[in-house]
Amino acid sequence: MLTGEQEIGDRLAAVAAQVREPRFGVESVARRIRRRRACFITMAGVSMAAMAVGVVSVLFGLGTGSLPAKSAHQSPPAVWLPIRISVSGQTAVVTRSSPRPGFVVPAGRRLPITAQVTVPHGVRVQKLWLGIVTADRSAGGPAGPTGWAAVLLRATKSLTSGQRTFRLRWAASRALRPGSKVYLIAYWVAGRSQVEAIIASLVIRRN
Amino acid sequence: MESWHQMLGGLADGRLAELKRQAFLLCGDEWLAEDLLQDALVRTFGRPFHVPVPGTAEAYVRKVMVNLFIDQGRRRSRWTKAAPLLPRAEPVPDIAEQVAIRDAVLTAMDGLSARQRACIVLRFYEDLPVAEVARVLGLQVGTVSRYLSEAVARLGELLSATERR
Repeated sequence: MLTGEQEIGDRLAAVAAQVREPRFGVESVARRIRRRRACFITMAGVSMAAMAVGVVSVLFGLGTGSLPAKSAHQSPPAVWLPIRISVSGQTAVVTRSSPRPGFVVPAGRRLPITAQVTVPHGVRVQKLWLGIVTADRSAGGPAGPTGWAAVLLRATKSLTSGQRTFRLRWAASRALRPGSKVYLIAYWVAGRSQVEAIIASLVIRRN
Repeated sequence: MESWHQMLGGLADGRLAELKRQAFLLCGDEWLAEDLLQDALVRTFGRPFHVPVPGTAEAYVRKVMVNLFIDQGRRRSRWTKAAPLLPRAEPVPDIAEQVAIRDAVLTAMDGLSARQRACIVLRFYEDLPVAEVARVLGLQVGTVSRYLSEAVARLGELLSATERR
């Protein structure tokens, strides 16, 4: 039985000695190497480009993410709904460009508020909210606005084109000091656009 | 710094034959040995951002070649089991004793697993220490020792059986 390691080595060397010189040319190997390197470089370039695109989109996403959420969710052009608003017999029409009206209201009394909303032709309003905020800011999101002091209306059905009239009631808190302001705010989603806007200010009357 | 082309040229000046011998001992076939060597060269120098350190190219090619052989051995395990049963088709114009040795050794080597075979070639043909064999194959020293022990015993049996015939 063959046990000597030296003997194995000798036999392997004897077999290896019978092997002929390589029959392939170095140039053919070099060509394959060049092709492989080019392939690697192409793949690396594509990966780098993909990464660059990813980084840019992430940065862009972060950039928009730092803006107020309502802007992030607004898709231009925003659909504006003209609203005719009446508070305690005082009436004003609010359009996109008109100045926001101010109504003087007493504290502690239930106020009749009427909002007549005009949905333009060809527009379908999926969500419509009306409410009160105590400061001229709030946050909107896919689930609706947040940070409102009171929600006076939350339409549960989609609104097609035409006029809708909503009769609401709200009482300003007695704790509000005379001369202080709260705001009537509207939020709607129409198609891909989402709008949240102050539509009037309510000034607490001085007694 | 030495480019891949210069390193390849350096290997082509006489070292390719030695690498092919090692590849042949691994494969047991001249054509397969050439394929294995070429694949190892392409793998070694084909990565643009990873070129071997000058002076280590041959060792690197050898390592890639052994690992490629083991990987291919996994894929061809069924064929490896059947191949020793077939007669060798390659004509051997050498003298009778050399033919007999070659045939006996290659037939015996075919009875080993790819890793055992790689261990035998690296240890007894390349004359590498066991620790170096373990490093090349990425195995523990103890594992290599076990492979070597099993392979030597198996080779002994197979060669003795061949010689008795």
